[in-house]
Amino acid sequence: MTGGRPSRGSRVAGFGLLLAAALVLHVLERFIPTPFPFVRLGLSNVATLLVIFSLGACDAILIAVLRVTVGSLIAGTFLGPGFSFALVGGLAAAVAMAAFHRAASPPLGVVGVSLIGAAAHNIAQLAVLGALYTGAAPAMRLLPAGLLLAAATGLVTGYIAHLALGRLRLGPEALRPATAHNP
Amino acid sequence: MRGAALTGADRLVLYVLVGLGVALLFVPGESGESGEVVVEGAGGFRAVVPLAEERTLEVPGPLGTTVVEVSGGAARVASSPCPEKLCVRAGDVAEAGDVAVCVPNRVVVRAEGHERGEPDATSR
Repeated sequence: MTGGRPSRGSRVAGFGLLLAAALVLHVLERFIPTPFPFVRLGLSNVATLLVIFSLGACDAILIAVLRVTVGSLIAGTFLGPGFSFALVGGLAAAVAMAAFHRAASPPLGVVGVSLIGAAAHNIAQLAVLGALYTGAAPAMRLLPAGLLLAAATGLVTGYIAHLALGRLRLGPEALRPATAHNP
Repeated sequence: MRGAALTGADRLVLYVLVGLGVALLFVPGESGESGEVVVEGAGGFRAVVPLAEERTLEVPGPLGTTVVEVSGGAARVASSPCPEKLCVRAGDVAEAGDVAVCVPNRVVVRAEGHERGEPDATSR
């Protein structure tokens, strides 16, 4: 165990793996029924979380944008009415989580960063709703619901990411050459 | 290698989110949010009443007096001398685009302002 930075090859492999996981979650999420079409669990945020806690902030933002773009191409919603919501929401969540991970992650755990991301996602989507469709007042009236839903979904996705990080051994140490070739 | 799922700071974030959400639930909507109602009658009668007011209007017409009542954020024709009473049955006039009309007595009650702006339907 010599430590140090993961090799370029293992970073590329990790990036591809996590992008693929993000895409699968993005598409799978469409099949999970929810009480309202616009309420979703935010499963693909699990992937963004995993990237933040393994590869880092820049890769997480990049994967979030790629995930929404390629994922909507797969699902057939590219540039559709929901696309701007998905892109802005996913990007806002990734940026907010990356910032909070960098600034306050020793006190904050995976679940805390996930909650921040869920809240940023919902606030950003309500901002899009207000700016493009309804004006500020109706969007503001949905803000309490958005924050409470974020608390619930952020808790669930954060816990899933916490479990996944423990089992997948995706931490920086797993991406080092020494443990990358586990038998 | 990883500790508890929820750290103390995580709990704090959770409580702040829930607290903020619940607190915002109790923020009252902006005053004057509802629109106003326009009441027009025969002979150029015209009155504009904010829907937030509580008021009763007596509108003169060729058949007699139509009583328009504004209360509880909506307007309605309370009574009319016309034979069909379609205007009374039109019920509450509150959202922009709602209308109650009495053709025999030449009275129009119409809500104005704030379109709801909701899409008719969504698909995904």
